[in-house]
Amino acid sequence: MTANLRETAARLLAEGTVQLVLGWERGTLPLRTTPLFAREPGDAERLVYDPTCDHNLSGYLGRLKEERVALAARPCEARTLVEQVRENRIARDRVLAIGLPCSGMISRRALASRLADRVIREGRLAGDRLVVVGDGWQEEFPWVEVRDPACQGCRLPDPGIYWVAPEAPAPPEGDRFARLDARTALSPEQRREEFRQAAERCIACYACRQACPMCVCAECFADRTAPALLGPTADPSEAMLFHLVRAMHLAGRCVDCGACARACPVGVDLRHLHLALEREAAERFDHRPGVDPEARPLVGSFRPDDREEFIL
Amino acid sequence: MKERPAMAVFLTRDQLPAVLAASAERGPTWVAAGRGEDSGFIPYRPGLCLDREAGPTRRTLKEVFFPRAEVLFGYATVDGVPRLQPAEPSGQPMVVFGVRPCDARALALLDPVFEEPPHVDGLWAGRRQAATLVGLGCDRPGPACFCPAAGGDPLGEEGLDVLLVPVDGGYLVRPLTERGRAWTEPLGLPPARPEQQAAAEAVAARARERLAGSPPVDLQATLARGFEHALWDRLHERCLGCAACTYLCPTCHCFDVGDEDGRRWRRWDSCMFPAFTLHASGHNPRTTGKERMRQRLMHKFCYYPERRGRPACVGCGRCVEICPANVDLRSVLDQLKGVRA
Repeated sequence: MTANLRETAARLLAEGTVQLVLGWERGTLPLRTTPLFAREPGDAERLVYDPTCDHNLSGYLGRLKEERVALAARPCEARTLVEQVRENRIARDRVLAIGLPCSGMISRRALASRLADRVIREGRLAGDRLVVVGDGWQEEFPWVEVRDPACQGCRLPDPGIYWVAPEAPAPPEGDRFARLDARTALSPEQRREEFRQAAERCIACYACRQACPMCVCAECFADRTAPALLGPTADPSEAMLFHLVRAMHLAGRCVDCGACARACPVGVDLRHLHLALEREAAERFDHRPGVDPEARPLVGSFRPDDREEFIL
Repeated sequence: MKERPAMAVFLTRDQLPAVLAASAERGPTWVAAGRGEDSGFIPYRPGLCLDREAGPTRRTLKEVFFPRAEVLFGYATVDGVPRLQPAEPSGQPMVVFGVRPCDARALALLDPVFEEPPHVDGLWAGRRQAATLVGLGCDRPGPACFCPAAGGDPLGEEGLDVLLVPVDGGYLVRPLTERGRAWTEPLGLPPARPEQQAAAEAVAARARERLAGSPPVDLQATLARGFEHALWDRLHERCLGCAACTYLCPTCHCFDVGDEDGRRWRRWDSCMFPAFTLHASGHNPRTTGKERMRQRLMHKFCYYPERRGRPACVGCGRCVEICPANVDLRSVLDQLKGVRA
């Protein structure tokens, strides 16, 4: 797959079809990749694609100056692109999405937990097997055992967004909302306490917001100073407010790519908030983010038959 | 603070819990504990033990001395007269256990920032004066560690009062300051035997070996010349503009102030945020990620060295570990080294 991607990228750049190819290259730590902004055909050699390419690249599209770009697109990038197109943030013909088959990503958090947080000195994928080496130990197992749980039940977007459709899309099976159903066993008090604890850990670095390709406000409400909407304290209520407002702003727009949870340096994962709102939008308004670039955005649309029993 | 060398003593691993518990009885005691992204300096509670992972904890020691948010003073009008009530550090002696040499050095780098007269930050200075820092030498530096490049050492002593060197069965305990001796002596530990001393030397050699190949970084002159270099246009490209690297950096110390309910707070702030330099007029001198990332690097590797003679980086590697886009400071520095402005 990496070979195909490199070849396509090199050709697009050499022909001048695009001025930039956005993909991933090997990172500097075991099992990490980093975004690659390939501008010369020779750069394409550095492209890689495997289940460690977990950072959603579409967030960079809005800041690029190039006239035409190609995007290495997993379903996560493709769903985001659909949203960006339908919100008129990106002109559809500006981006050539090179579809990549995806069967999920390795979760660094799941891997750390499986290895009891032992330090990984070296990691590599050999086919379906993941080999990790530490100080005086080595383990090998199928990588899907540490697949991001959120990749379960991944939806493919409308293939219409792709310039090259992925060859053998094999999304992991399962029900995406199962993660939410498991939470219904918790009482509202338990959920509130869990949320409070997450907020207590949050250091307000906003890595979640910055990594999110759909957090696109020119000025985030959290950065407002006059009036300041968040207080100057480190009380968890400040972080709770931030994460709740962020969730509301992403309702019907979040494509559940998981960039926020991966970006968090202190292990806060609030994806269930976004998922709950996604289910709400699906059940109440038959709205599915990241599927149809022609569809109207959730908040920008009105239908006479919308359910509105909550309006007095 | 360093006077005559004191004899090293030996603490067995079994004795450690009792030492921590006894310390907590005498006063506030912080312990480097927890795993992976959950790790940091936390107040002692029974059962807590020294972290034995490679490298530093995720959260830094600076949080003990410079919390994420704290009250500077309260204000009120009493009988028509405005009154200020400055916050005072408790002054109660405290002990911090398990401080990695990189984190201790970071405090030493921050001391002149907070304590240089005439502007002495009472909260910082008060806590520093009250603290005994018990270090834990780095026997297994992590994959992102690069302390030698920042002028440090996995068994470095700067800023510490006591250094524990982990060896088989326990720790070689080296008191480094008067305060360190005052902490060590009541423990009544036996002098370290020659083979334990030798084991500690071997640990140091192994740790240094692992970090070999990261020569000290001296970019001050290069950066001073290269402010307008075209490389900056590309360097920041992958950077997302979050504050994870600055908030988890042991030497980043910028803060903002804000008021709430009659109290003035200070809270961490980051040069990576646009609002950091937003003027009241609406003008912002650092409009893009390029200017902001450049500022972060210039501050650490040019402006700070200009004033203090060495970079404001200790090579702990946290920014390398946590960057969501894997923007690796080590490779950024490598690229900057090549700049011929």
